[in-house]
Amino acid sequence: MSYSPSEATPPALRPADQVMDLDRLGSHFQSRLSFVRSSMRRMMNEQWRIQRSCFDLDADGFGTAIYRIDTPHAHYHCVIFSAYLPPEKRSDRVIADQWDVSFVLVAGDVDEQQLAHLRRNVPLQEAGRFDARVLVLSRANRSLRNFDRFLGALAEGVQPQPQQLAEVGYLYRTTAVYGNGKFGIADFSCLQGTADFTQPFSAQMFTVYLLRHFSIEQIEHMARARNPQRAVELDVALQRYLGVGNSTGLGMAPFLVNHPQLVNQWVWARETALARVMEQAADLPEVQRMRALLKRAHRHVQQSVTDDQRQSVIDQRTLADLDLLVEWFDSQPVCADLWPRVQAWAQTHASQGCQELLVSLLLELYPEQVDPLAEQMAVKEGFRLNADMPLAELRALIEDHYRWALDFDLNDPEANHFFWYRSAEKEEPRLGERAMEPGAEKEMQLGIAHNIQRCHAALLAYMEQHPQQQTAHFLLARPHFKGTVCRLQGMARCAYGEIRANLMDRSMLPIDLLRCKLAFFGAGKFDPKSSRWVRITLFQGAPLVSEIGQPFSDDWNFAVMPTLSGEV
Amino acid sequence: MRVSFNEVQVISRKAFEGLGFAPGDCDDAADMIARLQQQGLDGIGALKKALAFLHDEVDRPIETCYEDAAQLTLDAHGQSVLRCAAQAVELGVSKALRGGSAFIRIRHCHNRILLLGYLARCADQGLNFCVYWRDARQELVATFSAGDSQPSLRVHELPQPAMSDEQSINVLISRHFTLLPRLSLAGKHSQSLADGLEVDDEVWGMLKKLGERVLVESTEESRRRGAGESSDA
Repeated sequence: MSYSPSEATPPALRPADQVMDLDRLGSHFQSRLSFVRSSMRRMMNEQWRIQRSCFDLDADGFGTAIYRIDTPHAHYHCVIFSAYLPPEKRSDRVIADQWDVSFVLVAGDVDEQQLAHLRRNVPLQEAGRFDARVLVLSRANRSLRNFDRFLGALAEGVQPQPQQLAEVGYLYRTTAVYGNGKFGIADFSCLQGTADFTQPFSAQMFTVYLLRHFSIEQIEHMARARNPQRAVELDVALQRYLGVGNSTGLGMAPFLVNHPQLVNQWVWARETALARVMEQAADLPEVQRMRALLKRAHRHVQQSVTDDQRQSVIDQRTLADLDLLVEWFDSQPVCADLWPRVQAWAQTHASQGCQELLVSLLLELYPEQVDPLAEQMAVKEGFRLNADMPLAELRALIEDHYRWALDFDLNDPEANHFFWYRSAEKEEPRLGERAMEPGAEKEMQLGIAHNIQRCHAALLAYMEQHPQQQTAHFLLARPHFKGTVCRLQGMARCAYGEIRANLMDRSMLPIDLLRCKLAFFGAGKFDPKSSRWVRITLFQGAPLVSEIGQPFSDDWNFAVMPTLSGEV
Repeated sequence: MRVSFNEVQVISRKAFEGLGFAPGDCDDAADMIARLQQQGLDGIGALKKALAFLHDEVDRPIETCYEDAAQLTLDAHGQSVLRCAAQAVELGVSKALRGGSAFIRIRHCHNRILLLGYLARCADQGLNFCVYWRDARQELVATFSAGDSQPSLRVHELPQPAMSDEQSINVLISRHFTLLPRLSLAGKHSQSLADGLEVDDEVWGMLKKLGERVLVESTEESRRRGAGESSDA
């Protein structure tokens, strides 16, 4: 049921200066629109079938596993190679060259010849070559602590402690999941011709889900090999509580700056979903569901463990705010405009962490309003120059839409403290301090505010001589600004997209950029290792492969630690 | 070797970065190369030829020699069309959209075939494009039908060596005129993406080298702290 608030105008989208603030983007949580959620929904709704077709592993879990996946539209294979990793080679960094497991998602069948090719190339990852039959290429390392504990427990016939999974929610941690044409694999446009992986990162997320399934089957296999008489299978509740980790550094940050139209689409979908929810009149069932969601989210955050002091403070603040929110919410009557009121309360009384968590929870209440937007996360990227835009209009466009960029004082040394660069070592993205480190002359072009300010100054100077001319004339005289002008003209048509921050500023925290992207992926349990590096968990709480085809409520996020039978 | 469309875009973009292209221009230029490659017109080979000029080229103004409501003549002063394709084509498109047709001539420019890579992006404007240019022995004519990003290309041998045409390229833009019939290139587009794009190994290696110009040598300090795996302290 929807209602018309007394003001008569439906709730508008939140403004870009609020939504695209970097601190706020760095406070995002997973939601129904996250790619793991939409991928899981598709698998369950279409009853994808996942079957093991090869499981040639030794007692240590080394060898080859192959899974066949049948969807209503096509079939695929996931080929996983597991090998011994010497301790000195163990690293989550891009500069690593060996991993515990390496794997691919392949379209169609895999014959002996292709399998031999994959066996030679997949373990090499970036150094291998592939063809367009390969859709996703990835690798992962074991969480040694969890792996040893789980294996030991299962081999002895007992279940591991759920607390271990609350602390580190996985057995494997991916360190890169490649799609879209990397190293010769299929371009994203090839996937858009299929019905299964039309949304960004959906093929990658599905492949990660298969790794989760493999990790369960592998550790049970190893436990049986170690102690055939006593070994037990992992409890189903723990299987569900098991996710897949991911370890991520700075590489995600340039992606967000270089794909503003895609970022716009994702943020637009989320904000549109929120606005739709705001238009719904609250009824008792939704209010009760909200209470349950608040309680579960509270426990989820409470059970998130991190050694990072900053994240810990943020989590504690979020928990405290959630307590206040629950208290306030419980005192409210069920009334039509409850959702706008709860959002307004959070806006006034709660931290950004709590506010954005609330957004995720609100989106849970009305799936029919929200879920269709998950099918609109892709966008055709590329900017076209609007050549005949009068210069006065171009100037007004900069001053209106990019006021935030013009307002930065970029002459302040603090505003130029960092520079982003790619290292000669496997092109790993890194951050350097301009005054202290070499390489600033080769910095990546991520200074959007800098570009805008330079372009604006050049435009004003040009307009003194040629006030009546068009944009193309300015760019014929100053071709250096063509890229900047194309971008700002294109982005002016978008509600969101540009991250309102100076990424070179001393106070900038790259972790906020990482979190924004990872939350759209569906990450939980953010555990920063520094301001530039974070470990997260995907698919924690998701249905198991064996549960595909069973009734599905799509209510598995913000997973909380299970209580095993027999536990008190 | 066979590579993906995305790989062509990425390696070209990095090469343009290595050549010092301005922010955003690298993507634009890389897209032109990739689309040409996708059209089966050896974008990577064209880029190889372009490199000889781009190495020494400094971004400088494109001169407007003549302009009215339906015509535009520019002088690129020996620069690559990569530098001015967007400005020239989009200005011509806006004139054609207003008046029905327009004519653009870019004088003294190099790597003229790369302009086809840009025109492939303009298919959705409801306009037909006819592009022609000539070298000493032949004239090349390419047309794009409205709504189609795949050109028809014909090469005509000239009966006698051409008089100087100022190393120019000409673009007719119109809603109306009749175009060349589709040649055997038809259908190559979708096929090439699924099969990968064939590129010359040697040129690929050259482009990789160019892209490496923007890589920063690793030091112990940058390895330890730059990527942020260790603590902030």
